[in-house]
Amino acid sequence: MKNVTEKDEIAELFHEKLSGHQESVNPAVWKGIQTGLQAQSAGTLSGASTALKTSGLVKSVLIGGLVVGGGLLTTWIVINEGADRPAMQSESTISTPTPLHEGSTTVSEAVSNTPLPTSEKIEYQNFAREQSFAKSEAAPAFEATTETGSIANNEGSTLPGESKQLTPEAARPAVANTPPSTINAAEKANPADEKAPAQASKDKGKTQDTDSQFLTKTIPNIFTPNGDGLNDLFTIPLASGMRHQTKIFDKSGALVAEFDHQIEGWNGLGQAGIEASEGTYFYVTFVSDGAKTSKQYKGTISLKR
Amino acid sequence: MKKETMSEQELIKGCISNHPDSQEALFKLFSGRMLAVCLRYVSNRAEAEDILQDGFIKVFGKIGSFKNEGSLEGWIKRIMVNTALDQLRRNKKLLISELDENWEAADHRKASDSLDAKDLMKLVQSLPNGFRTVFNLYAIEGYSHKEIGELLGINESTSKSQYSRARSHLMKMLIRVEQSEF
Repeated sequence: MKNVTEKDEIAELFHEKLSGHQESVNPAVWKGIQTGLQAQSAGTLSGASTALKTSGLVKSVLIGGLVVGGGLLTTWIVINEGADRPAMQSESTISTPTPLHEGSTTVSEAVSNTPLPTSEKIEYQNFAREQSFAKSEAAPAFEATTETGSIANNEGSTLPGESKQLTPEAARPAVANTPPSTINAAEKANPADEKAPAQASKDKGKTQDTDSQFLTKTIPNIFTPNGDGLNDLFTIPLASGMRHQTKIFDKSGALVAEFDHQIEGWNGLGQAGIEASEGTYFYVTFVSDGAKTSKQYKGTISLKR
Repeated sequence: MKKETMSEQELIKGCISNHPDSQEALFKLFSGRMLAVCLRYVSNRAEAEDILQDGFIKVFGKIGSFKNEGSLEGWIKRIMVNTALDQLRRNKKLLISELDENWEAADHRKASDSLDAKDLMKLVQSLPNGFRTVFNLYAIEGYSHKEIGELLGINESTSKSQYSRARSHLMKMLIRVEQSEF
């Protein structure tokens, strides 16, 4: 520790001690890499079962926490500020009371007509919990939705360890009181209700509703808009007769892009037509048949070029 | 030594042909050191793991273009550093010039009496982003100020001044640690 005042010695000291330094690596990282590689080499993204970047995402929701989740929440609240109708049902989710209408009414309007801060909070918490759950299982699927009823049905199910972790990190007292994972409950309630691709059953990503009504397969969790003709678009695999409205948010909760069924998919360009950077984004998709049936899907989509 | 080189060559070959075992072996071989690299650029472990993950996906994607000119480790490390810098840029944490003026060195009196790598890691991590990035690139990775300037889009002189400020802060902290030992 002597002579540290010499310029070179500082650099030497740190170089010597740190250039070969090792840290122990969370096994989830390797799993995430495997998934990313599989998704890339398979060429078909629908089979990719594990959302990329599980570990980091979960932790950034938990630790960096409210920057991400709070940002998303904020965005939703901002969306809702335009609405003047009062809350109608405190326990329902966004998707249920707001069917898509023919023609002019877009999903985003439908959202803003349903200002339900309470349910949004629950949704956010469920979302965060889905991520936690995903982490603990290392086989997440984020397209699980929060349907009316599923929240109420949750009371009995447990999510070992994770809710505990959420509470201090997220600094959001309500989290501790909310019933645990929607996915868990749904999985237990309807193990046989699975018509989506084989992978999905593994993923515990299902709800009471049959997804096949809305989607032909699982929403992908990675795409590569690099112009090579493979997976250049993030597309929603709509079942026939369905339409959708999808918003893409970045990690800070800022809206990056939105698109609907009238175009094939998201090409990875942000609002100003600039290429969005590689990384993980959140999507919120409303799928509807244009009449009374609609469902919301949320999850993460990794953009690689 | 020769044997090691051979097995590294085999690893590379295996990774080029997307052999899962080779990929895992390569990951196991380097991930610990590479996570340490990532942790010097972002102090948040989750973020560092994200970078590690992204970086290794890039490594496996590009390993076909690795030429045996330098060491494999050096090549992987460069990818990690670039991935980390991308991440910092993306999060707008790489605001070099005006930032950090009011920054005060954290109190490190509690560092253990023998400064090992862990303690030094903590010191590096306690630096603000701008300082830290330049310090990492210059002192530990061994980039020149010119290269750093190009890499970060700043002047060479800015890199120098950032480095010297980082260094003087680290020095203060080291002295404090040293004094606290008596």
